[in-house]
Amino acid sequence: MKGYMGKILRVNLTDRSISTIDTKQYEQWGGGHGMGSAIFWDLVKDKTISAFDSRNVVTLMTSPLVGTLAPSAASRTEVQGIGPQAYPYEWFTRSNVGGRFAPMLKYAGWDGIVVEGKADSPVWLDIRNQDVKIRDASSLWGMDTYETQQEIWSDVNNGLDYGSWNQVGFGRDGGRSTQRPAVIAIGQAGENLSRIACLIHDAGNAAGQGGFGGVFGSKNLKAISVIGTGNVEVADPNALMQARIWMKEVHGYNVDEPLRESPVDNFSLYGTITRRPGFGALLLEVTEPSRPKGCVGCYMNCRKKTSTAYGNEASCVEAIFYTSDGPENANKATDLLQKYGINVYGILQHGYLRDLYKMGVMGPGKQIHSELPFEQYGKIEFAEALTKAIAYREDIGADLAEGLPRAIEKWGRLEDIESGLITLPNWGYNDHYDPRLEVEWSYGSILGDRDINEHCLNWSVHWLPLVCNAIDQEPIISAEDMVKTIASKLVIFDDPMMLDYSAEGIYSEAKAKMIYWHRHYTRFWKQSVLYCDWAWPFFVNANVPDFKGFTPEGEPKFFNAVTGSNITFEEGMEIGRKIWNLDRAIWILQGRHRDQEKFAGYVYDVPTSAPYALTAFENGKWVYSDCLDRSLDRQKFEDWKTMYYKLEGWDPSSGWPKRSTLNELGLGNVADELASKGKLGSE
Amino acid sequence: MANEPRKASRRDFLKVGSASLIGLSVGTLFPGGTWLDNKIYAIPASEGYLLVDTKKCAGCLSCMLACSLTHEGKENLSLSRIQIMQDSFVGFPNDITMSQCRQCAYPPCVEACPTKALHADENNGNIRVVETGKCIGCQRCIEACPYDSNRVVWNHESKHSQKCDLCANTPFWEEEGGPDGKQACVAVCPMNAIKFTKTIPTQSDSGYNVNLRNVHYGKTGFPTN
Amino acid sequence: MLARLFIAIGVFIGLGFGAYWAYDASRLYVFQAGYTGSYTYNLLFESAVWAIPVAILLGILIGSFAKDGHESYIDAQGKVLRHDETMFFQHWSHALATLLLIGTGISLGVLMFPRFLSNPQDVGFAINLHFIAASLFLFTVFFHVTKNILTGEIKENMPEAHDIPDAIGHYKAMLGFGKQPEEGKYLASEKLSYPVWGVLVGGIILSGLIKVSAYIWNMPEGLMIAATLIHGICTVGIVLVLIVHVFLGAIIPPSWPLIRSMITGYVTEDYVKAHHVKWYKEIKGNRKPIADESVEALPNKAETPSV
Repeated sequence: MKGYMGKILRVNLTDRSISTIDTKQYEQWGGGHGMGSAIFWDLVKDKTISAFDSRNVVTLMTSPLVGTLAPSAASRTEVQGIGPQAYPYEWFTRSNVGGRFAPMLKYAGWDGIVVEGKADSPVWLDIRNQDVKIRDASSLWGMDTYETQQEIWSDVNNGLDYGSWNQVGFGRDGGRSTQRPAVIAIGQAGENLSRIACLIHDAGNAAGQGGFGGVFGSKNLKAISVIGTGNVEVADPNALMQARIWMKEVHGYNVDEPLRESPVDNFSLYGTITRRPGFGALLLEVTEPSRPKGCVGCYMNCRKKTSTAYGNEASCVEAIFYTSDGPENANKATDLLQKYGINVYGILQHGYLRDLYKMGVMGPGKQIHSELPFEQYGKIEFAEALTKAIAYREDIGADLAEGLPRAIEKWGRLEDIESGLITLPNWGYNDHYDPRLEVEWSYGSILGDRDINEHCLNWSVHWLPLVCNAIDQEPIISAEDMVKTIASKLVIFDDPMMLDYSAEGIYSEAKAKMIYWHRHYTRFWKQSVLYCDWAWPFFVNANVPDFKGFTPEGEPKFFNAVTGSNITFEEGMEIGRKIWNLDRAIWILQGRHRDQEKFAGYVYDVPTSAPYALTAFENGKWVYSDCLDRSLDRQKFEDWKTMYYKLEGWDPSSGWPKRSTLNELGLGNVADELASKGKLGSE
Repeated sequence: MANEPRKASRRDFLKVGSASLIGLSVGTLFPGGTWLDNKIYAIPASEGYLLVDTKKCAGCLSCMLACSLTHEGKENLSLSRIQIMQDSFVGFPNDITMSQCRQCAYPPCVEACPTKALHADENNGNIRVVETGKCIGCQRCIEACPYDSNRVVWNHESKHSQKCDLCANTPFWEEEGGPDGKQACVAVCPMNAIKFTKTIPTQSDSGYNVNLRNVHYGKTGFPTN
Repeated sequence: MLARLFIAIGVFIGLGFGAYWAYDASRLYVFQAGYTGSYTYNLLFESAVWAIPVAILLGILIGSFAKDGHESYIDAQGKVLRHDETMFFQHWSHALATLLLIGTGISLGVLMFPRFLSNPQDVGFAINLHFIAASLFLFTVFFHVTKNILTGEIKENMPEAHDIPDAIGHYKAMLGFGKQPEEGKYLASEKLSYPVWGVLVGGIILSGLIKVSAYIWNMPEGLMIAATLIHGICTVGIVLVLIVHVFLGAIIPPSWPLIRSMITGYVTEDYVKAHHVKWYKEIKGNRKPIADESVEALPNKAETPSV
């Protein structure tokens, strides 16, 4: 199939050897996550090792669509490995980063990178087309991510400026480029083995969750730089071009003449409905001259770049990390996270620390000693002190660098997680959308390895009604129409009840089908083919008169145009099911059992007290419910889990896949491995 | 050693030889050749130009991907005839440069080409294009382009120069291009930051940098000045 | 030998001037068009294209006056003149030109082979050197062809039907099977290679001239592509034949007398008697008399007074 470069770069940092893996062996997995899981399965024999063990393997995979004109599918890198962040178990996990790294890797001739072992001194990986070198990073170690990247840019271009054509390869035909190398780097947080350190690329792209910054640090890997001048082959260039234009003209937000635009000026949040450029800042306004900024090949461009350069390329939660001291300081605080390489979700609830201070539990000479300037909480000085402490493991930063759940455990305050004083509902991850209500999110998270961060339904069932309510606008599409539209697109099912978030609906068989659909869709189409979470799937499109978005036509259309394959949407879902089962097997080998798949106590015990918009079938009709006064019922959730496991073909007593299921998916060898460890589900 | 017949044929040969020498020398004078100053010939102005709005560009590089896809049938940033360069750490608006061919009225690249591979194509609105079969790889056109990041691109795969032809020749796209047709970059740009025009733009240091942002763009909060 | 030394030095000095001209012309300078940042260099193929037809015509002109190297004789010291000074000049300047052409041509890129040069100045230098070497090449080729046709030496260079079995017999004898056939001045195998050279050199000149015409006239694109392809194919052919030529003509021990004669001009009578029986039969009657002024008289022991 076209779109693949044919080779995966394999780097062993222990013996500093460089070799290649033939992509063909893994092509059946599509790309991205599927390949990463399969490679991890093959290369890591003992899956019970910890994240900082040198035998941990990190994969950074692209897909055949990366580097092509496929809209919002050209720029993403799927990062996988055992991550140190999850609590209390270090699950095999995933993260994803946009920008320009993945396409540049493809142009250099690689489908992905596999990093094994540990270097005996700090190194960085210098990839220039097919020329790969492991280079000494002693001069880079200690630098923040911005300085690191700029140092590497200068090194790769022999100290010359950028702004014209630079020679990349040898000779007249060795390849030239006007582009800077794409660099992924860790900051001081990763160097100091923080569990909440992330991988940073350019100014604001990150593989945030999972703690891969620390994993890189544990391998003494400071950065990976890549510059390429080669081609990605496309099976049907004309079809790809025409499909891309279709996407823009039919489904895109027309920047000059939008079909629907926000009734309120400078209101980024309405972009969750219209997907207009620069909506990534969500709650924040544009406060200085800026431009929208997009990753390579995007047709939406959700980020932005500012005139001060503060907060460049920041988006979503990292942009709202610390907003109490004005917009410029908010951007500066965000930049601190980017530079130190700290996952915003590792410290987003810094208000909790202030609460502990106010309770007299934390502070100078207190039970939890800290000399952070709590009196200046809310000002930029506090954010500076906090982020520095985490990056360098100073003061309470030494505990916070272990991630909030482990810090809280050390402080002997696990009851705060249970009570919901701090909301860490699943695997110690920061809550994202209310776990008591938006269950495709919480169920998917607890059945997996992390906060899922898959907005597929969320944009429509939650944000659309929320945003319209926020500006006192009647929701532009009724709940019934929305549910019917989405259901018709949830191919393989088409059951509107799957979108029912009512108090009963969240435990239903239809909800089991929803999660079943969601896990498989995301594992293949989003995390393997690498369609961006913020653009795909698109169910309810405000830029189209009848609101019908481009799922499920769009996904196979671009995949087939590039690869020359003729896969259907359903076939993709089936590959996703295979990948999901492989991931399940890995977690089971790491010790997973259904008894662990439980939320923090508050999810069950503390009812919601603020309106939270979701589609619900209540009193015989579809509405956008406020979902007030609801929490999750322990027993009903356990019963729902049983229903779900059965749907997946897993043994409901343990949550382990059955041999028949694995055989059906061509994973007989996985069944053998599970059986040998006594962890195969009973038929 | 028979000298006599040789002397005779040598004399004949000299006659023929010197006549040929004169003939050839005179011949090279004629077809617009090297003895005449090329600059005397006026090169007609192009009937099409690309305007860009650097403040509107989102740096997604879709134009570059579309350019190489439609012309070469594959995706390669180094083969794109429009180049977008950006620095993540610099502030707006100096963080992005859009480098498209200006279809100069007095094109140094056309004048530099010794084999007339790079010429003004009278069948296609006088667009300055490279007839790639004639390119000998001397790279004078690349050096001649006065703009940093030369707008003429060295195609290191097919070993010849190439440049923006306003999509006059896009073998991998079904749409017609050229001054009366569609341009790939214009068609895909999600920000509508590239525009085609038939009127010669006014020269400026910022190179056909225009304001393509209207009131709707302004409503999203981004500047329209 | 002194004359040959002067010829060799002369050729190198000439090429040296040519190389300097090529280098100087390839340095970038600000383009006259008046744009800052716009540079160009002097492509000699374009600005000095007149040198191509001039080289051809000079070759024809001087070739028609050149000395006939046909006749040979055995001199008093038992040496036979195989290649005279004209041949020395012709062969070695042609060889140098060919090597330069191949070297610059390959570094510029031939067919699908990778190129070594990167920036325009290096490319320009290589193309300009190609131009210098091409001028010399054209001169020597047309000189050679004109001369050999007019003197009739061409008949000795071109093969005849009997040369095929003779060549096979020659190589069999070298490997130890059978007897050496009776060879003329030029070995049968050499003569067989002559038309091969002719086709390759002819092809490369014709395609090269078509390519050069592009600097003067507007040529159709298809013709240029065809000419470039033929030029490349002939390059590969010439490189292969050249390797064989050097190996068989200079590397293998039986050929050492031959390479020596291409430098000094002479082979020994014994050599001719042993390896070129037919040629020996032709020349054995031509002995240079001792009284010939061109030969140094051996001192007569009887006449030299002892001091």
